[in-house]
Amino acid sequence: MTTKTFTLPATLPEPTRLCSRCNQAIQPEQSSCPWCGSLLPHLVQPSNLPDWFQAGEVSVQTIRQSQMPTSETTFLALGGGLGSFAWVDYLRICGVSADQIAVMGQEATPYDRFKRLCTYSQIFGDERIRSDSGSRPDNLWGWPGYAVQEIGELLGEQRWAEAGRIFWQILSEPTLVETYAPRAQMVFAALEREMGRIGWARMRRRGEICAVRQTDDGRYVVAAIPHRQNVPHFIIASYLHLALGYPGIHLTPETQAYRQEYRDLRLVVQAYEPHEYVYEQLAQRGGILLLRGRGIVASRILQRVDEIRQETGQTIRVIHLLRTPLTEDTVYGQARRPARYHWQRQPFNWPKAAFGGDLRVVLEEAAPEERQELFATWGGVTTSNRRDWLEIVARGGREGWYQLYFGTITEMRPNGRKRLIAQFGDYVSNEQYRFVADFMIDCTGLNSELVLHPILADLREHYELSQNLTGQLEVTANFELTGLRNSRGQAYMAGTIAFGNAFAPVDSFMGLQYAAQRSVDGLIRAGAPGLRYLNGLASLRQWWRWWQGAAP
Amino acid sequence: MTPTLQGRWETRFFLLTVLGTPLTVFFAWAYGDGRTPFALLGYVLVFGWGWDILYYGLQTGRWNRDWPPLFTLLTGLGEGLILWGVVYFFRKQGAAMPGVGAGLTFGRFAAHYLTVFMVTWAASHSLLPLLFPRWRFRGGQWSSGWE
Repeated sequence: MTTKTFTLPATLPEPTRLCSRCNQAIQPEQSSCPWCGSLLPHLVQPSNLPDWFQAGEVSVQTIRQSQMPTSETTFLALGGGLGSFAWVDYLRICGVSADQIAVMGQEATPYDRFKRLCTYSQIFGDERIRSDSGSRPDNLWGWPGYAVQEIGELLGEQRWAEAGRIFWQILSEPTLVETYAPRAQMVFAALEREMGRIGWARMRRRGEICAVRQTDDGRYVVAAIPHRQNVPHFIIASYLHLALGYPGIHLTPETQAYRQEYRDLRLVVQAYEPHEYVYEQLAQRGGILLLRGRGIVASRILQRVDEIRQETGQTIRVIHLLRTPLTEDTVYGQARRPARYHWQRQPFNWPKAAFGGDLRVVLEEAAPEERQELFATWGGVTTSNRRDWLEIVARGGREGWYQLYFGTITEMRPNGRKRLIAQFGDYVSNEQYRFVADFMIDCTGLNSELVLHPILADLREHYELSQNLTGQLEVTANFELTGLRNSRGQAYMAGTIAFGNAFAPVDSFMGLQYAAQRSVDGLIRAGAPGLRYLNGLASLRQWWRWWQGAAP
Repeated sequence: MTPTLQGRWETRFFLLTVLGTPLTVFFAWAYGDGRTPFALLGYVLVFGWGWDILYYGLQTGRWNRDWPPLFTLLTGLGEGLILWGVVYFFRKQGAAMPGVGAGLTFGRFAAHYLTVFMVTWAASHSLLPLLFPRWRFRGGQWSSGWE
């Protein structure tokens, strides 16, 4: 990457403490906007960039004449998270040298945001995440998986029984035992090792991406504000990869209305916001917790509360509020996903065959309307098939500290004594119930709407990119954003922003690796420089280098 | 890896030809019979393609449409026993299964079958994904890449 230095004109204001989406004040340390949920609250909106940048095709000569800092590279990954990492890892292993790759993103490491959201939602380093043994973003082959690694470590410590239990688990999951899942810390440690091996630090540029444009010489230009600076930097690249992640956390209209009216961020929290004080207070004084949502985060929070109950002996009640009951099993063909205690459980957020078996093929060959039905059937809000989680719900109901209600919140307000009054209408009778709770935790997930993503919404508008029926941008089966093709230049996407197309589990470690493989194979077919097709003995040789920790 | 039917057929073919053949050469030498071990290997492959249709049918009744490694172990042992049953059936009829010598004992059959099966089972969970990085996303197909 070559950098041309120019005099730096002060063209943009100092970083603001207003959310770039909703224009309301936020604290600098907040990673998401508490008012609208944006995970990109400090972004410089594309419309604030210079006029010449607003053209459909930006002239490279104009960029150079602008005297703004500009650099050039061949492959540019935007996002800097796990999606970028999987793609860059694949590029490096397929032969591209580190000096031909640049990565631009907000975070210091590719797993920072993932780790932060895990921690907020109570998945600490020692907790197990919902992911397969072979879905390891540091190893494109998936072997040895985390399970084999863990078995090796346990055998080294002479913990035979635990090693045997995990071996039995990977042999017979998910039929006879619950599915193996790696500890979060194993994922981070393995990523650190691979980051060192492929020279991640040399490729990474930390900053906020503002906008993407085509150039008049068949490439792309990206405007970004480097970390702790306030002048845009332009990066020109031939091949682009966008893995920008979720634009925000999901704040329900009730939560937004409550916060706007009472300006209180303490009593009502979203599970992906820091809220450790909730558990500290429950551990000290006990209390009543109102919980919303029936996904994996709600399961984990329920488990955390149960742990606190058992450790401290405090009286803690959980009122679990869901909009509707869920008693019907989900049926697809001859197969059935059972509903238990109003939760739907499956090992991962999609059936395993959607990752690489026949359901992957079914979806790829399906018409757009049919895909919508398949997404609804295979996916939906589900939680892991962990027996301990099912047992907590059953035991909590028996012991009376866990109560389940169905309905919609009609009113929420603080009671003036640091507690919350919540009223909801019952699902069937519409009768009003009122509770006084100490906190409400909203576990309704993350938001991926395209319109909320300033960079993608701007791209769609600028280049009239087509959207699929879920509202996300349309990509081909190999994840190319064909609407952005520019002569020899190609742009690809990965992760949650590529949802609604030919592959369902885009938002998973394995999905990121799948997208990386398909897009790099697409680049190889297009004749992108420096790439070799990875297969057979060459693949085995690269794996051996991975095993030894040698650079690709 | 969650196999498709085509993936099952291709994986079985690769494992039995690339790994099964050299192992069978060893057993042919050890038993002093250049024909029987190869005939048995051929039966395992051809019958196996039929078994794969049954296994794939069973998979479609499972929500995840997957096939845990334990199932492969158990069905592999079952396939071996049934193959021996067929050899035995021919003998009971006073005939011999084509290519299978009269000197084949159950012990010799089991040693050959179990060696080939365990080596190929282990390889399908280790060597194959390393040789073919697309294999696990293509339900076990290794012969072609992405279009």
